[in-house]
Amino acid sequence: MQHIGEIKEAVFACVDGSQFSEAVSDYGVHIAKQLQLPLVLFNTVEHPYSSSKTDLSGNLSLGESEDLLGALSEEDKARNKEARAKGKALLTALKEKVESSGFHDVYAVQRHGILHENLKELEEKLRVVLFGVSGMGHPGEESGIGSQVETIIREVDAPVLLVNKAYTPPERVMIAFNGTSGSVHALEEVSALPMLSKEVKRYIVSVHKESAKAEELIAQAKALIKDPSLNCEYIAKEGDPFEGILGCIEEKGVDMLAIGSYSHGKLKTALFGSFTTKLIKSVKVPLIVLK
Amino acid sequence: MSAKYLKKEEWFSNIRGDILSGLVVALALIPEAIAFSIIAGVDPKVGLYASFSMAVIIAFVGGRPGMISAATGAMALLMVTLVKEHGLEYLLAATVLTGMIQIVAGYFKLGQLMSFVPRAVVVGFVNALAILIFMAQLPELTNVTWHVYVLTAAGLGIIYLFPYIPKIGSLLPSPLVTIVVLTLVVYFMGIDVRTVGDMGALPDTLPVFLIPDIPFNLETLMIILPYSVSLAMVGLLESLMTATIVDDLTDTKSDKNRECTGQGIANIATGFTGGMAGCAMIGQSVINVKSGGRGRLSTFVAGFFLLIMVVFLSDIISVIPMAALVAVMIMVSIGTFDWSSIKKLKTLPLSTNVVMVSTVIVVVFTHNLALGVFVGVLLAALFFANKISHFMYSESTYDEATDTRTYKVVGQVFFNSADKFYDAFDFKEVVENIVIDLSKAHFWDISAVYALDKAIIKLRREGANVTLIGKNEASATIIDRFGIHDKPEEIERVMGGH
Repeated sequence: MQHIGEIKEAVFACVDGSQFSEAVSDYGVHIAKQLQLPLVLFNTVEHPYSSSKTDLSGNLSLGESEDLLGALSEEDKARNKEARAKGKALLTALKEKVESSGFHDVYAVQRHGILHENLKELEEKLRVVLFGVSGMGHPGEESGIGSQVETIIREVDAPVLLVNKAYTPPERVMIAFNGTSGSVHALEEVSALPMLSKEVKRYIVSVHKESAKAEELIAQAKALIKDPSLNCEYIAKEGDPFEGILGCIEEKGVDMLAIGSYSHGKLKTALFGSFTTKLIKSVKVPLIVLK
Repeated sequence: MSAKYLKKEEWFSNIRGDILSGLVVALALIPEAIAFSIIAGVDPKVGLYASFSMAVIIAFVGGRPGMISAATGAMALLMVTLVKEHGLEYLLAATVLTGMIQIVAGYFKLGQLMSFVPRAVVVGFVNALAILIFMAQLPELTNVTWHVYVLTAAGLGIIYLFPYIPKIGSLLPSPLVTIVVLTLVVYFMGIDVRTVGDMGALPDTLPVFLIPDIPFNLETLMIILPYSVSLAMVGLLESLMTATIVDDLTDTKSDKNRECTGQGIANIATGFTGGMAGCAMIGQSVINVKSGGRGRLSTFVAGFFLLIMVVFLSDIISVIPMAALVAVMIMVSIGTFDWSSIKKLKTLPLSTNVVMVSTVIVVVFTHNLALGVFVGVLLAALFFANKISHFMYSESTYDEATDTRTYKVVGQVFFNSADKFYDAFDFKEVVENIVIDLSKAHFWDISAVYALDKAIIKLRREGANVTLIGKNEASATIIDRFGIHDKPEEIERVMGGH
């Protein structure tokens, strides 16, 4: 297990043993190769906010605080030992797999604490963060969104790749462009910067209720693409952005989508729902999300 | 902003545990809030409203999920004189001002000042608080009939023995059982003892917003300001200490500066709803964690149910005998006291014990925890300075050929060791050349520089040639700003032998 201090910048693949962990690691290898950066297989031992035992006797005896500390420590110790062993086994297995595939610049890192807090602390080392859309704690949850996805996207300042299917090398990438700073970054990230290889087909799509506005956005996007040799196709569509984007993914057989994220405050999002969350829930291909 | 206050995992990760523990705490808060109101000399409703408002608001704005804030003994003790001399309205105004001071403290990140409070002072604070809570029960136990003693003893018996009953022992809070049993006994046997109803008004409505009825002028400000400063300080101290305890118990982190601001917001709101100033409670927070409370929901439930119960059950609450409350408060006092600190007295260094015991003594005599902490921190700092001053010595060699006396100073020179440094020179010796080698010394302040200058002047006056070696390096430690010195290699350069 490497120490995190030795790593300056890397692609972080967050794995927790849920169904997409292997795909997360595979996509991580792909992007790390493209960016020529190390890959960090990252596992967190989370300390739950909940309690397993309850004693409602409500009294305070002599040295209550110390007794309680002892009891709770013992409880945590057993649970953490198990979580650590599980995470370690997962990391070892994935690391072996990555190395046997011929990629050797890979580290396995295990940290205590909640994932998004850990990522926030390591922010400056994060070139790209990858994780599975449905975390361990929520296998059968209706929305299928890990509880931390939104928090990570909101709080951690790094490009995020949400993995929601088994790995296939990305060949057709779609960038949903709506002029917000997030989508500008998304466009830059997958075009100017080499996160994806040059050969990948890029669809730059703008969907707007007015077709003139969509055309205008496409013109704006064209100006942002610096490299003329990229294989780009520009699509301006009239209609509902949500339906338009989903339709386009179907139509073109897109296997990765890049979007800008959460442009509204959390309260507003909680009240009206978020376009980003809606997309994350409905899109069947991995998403690159940028602020 | 809204994102900060509505973290889902802090609210809803532990719903069942939080609701149950919140209920247990709500029940435990009622006797405490009443008892602390009595200490402060106000109607029980002032403490009960405060406990409701503190708990509910801190649930949202506090920095430590699962910590319980309410009306507390530490704060109540500071209000006694203000209430006695000026009345309730001034207390409410002082509460609002306390909140404002705490918000400013949070804004300037004064939570970090806690690092100046040594462990011995924290232990002293906790022990003093426990003793004060116990002493506050004594008026209820003096000049009373034998019934009160029997009831109190029976109450303590139930509190400590009830949890040993299999099954129901860990389902029903024993302090609640005590209160119910004693109330029934007193009520149906018609024993004539003091009850809560005799102590003043209980809440009969939900709290309402009101502006304290005081003249808004400088004179008023001068009356309440000293109280508010003490209240703000003690409130933050106890809150930050409790936050650390909860951090340790649950192995999670808290945001100390947010806790400062949160305490401020909660106190302002409390002052405007007719409550007395409050802060985090050590005992109740431990009970909350023990009962399975972890999230913000537990604090909210505690405050909310407290109010519901108090408003709708005020008739029942008024017949609770004071003896039952005294038993609960004795339990709180015993639970708050750090008993291991008594055992450790034998093994810890004397200076540490002196700091702890002095903190306790000052508090017990002045009833002011802020003063106790101040004395404790001061003593600890003096002991520390004294300890460091031992890390200095001066040795001298004499070279006959050149008639040169060389003084080599090693260690820490500062206000406390400056005299020792000065006295190490032999001013009576007749010698041609004097070399003062400071390359292994560290000058920490102007006292050290002054002592050196004084020594040099005196030596030169006697006619010697004085040469200094390494003065600049030795003085590198005087600077106040450590920005450039926080790199390991810089520290190594300054502290290592130049």
